[in-house]
Amino acid sequence: MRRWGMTGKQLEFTSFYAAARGDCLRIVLVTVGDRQLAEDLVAEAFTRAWASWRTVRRHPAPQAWVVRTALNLNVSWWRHRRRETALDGRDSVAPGGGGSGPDGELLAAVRRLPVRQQQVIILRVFFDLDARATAQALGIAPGTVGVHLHRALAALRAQMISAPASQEATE
Amino acid sequence: MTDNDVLAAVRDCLTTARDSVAGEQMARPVGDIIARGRRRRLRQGLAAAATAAVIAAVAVPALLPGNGGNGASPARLAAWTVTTEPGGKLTVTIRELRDPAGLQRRLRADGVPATVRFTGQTPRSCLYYPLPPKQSFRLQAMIFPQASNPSGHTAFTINPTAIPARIALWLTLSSPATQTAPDGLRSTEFSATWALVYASGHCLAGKPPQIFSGGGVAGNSSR
Repeated sequence: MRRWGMTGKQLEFTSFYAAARGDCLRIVLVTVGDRQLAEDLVAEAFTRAWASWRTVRRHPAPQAWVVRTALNLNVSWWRHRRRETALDGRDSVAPGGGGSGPDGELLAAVRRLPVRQQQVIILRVFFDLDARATAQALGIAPGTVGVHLHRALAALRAQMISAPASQEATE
Repeated sequence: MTDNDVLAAVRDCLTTARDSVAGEQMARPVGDIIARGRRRRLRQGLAAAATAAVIAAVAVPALLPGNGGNGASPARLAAWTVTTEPGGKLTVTIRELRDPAGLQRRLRADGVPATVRFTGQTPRSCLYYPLPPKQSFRLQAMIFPQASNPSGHTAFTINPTAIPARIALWLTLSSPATQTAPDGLRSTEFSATWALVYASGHCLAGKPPQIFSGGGVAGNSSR
């Protein structure tokens, strides 16, 4: 009598967690800009990954799955909190480099993107996923990925063009 | 400025930001994550387990020859019978725990996506269908409109038309326990339980191993 893969399953998940948790935390932190929130989101995403490990382990990019889940959770939690309480600054841009200078402006612009556009950018930049893999990770059509990417880049381009102009105006 | 230029700038920006927080580490131990996931699955499993209901545990007297049987050989009845009622409902009568595969075949032939096993054979190839308890009980009441013990047998009625397309039935018949009454009459007790499961190909085909969301017992079926 042997339990189905319980030991192996735990070991597998444990090594995945050990290998991926740091990267996932840092990517989510950069995206949401709040250390505690990022840790909560990533912990919850890993909890869901464990609960669905049979599916997640077969995912072409399990780490991307965790990050995508964490970013989705961020939207859900934000909406929930917005209904319940004042936001106490959680929706504002915070650490991780946002706020000042061209890079800060660009990072803030990434954080302001709609969630799908943001996810497409994050998966492309940090996981080097192509349109097909990104589509698989997000559960959308590859063509839709292209649309989100195009719109995200257009918004960021506008930000990059306007930021130097506004800086010059203030000088 | 092309899309590639913008993407390169964004890449630089984001990787720089990530590198700036390189010292950040998750403080949560993996044990906490696993324990939390297990608690969650247990809660989901409890909801699923609530869909399982004991139909009956009945004494079936006089089926086995006992001391009070006057030495007469009992009539050999079928272990189970399935009869079709007007309106398409099926009445399943269980007298002995034999031939679950035959019962399964018969039920499927009559349009009931059922998997039948004896006690201890957990539905490892099935996934419990998650429903809120209230909805689950309502659905079970429609699928199993009657459960009774006519003439000392266990019997229950299945309404195949009440079974939603994505749902299948998991029926477990318990091992019998034979008891001898003071008057010497021997009786057999057994029970049937059911659960609502996904009508997946895996479940109906019985291909192991498929983990099911059964909370604390999830994934531990083995033989």
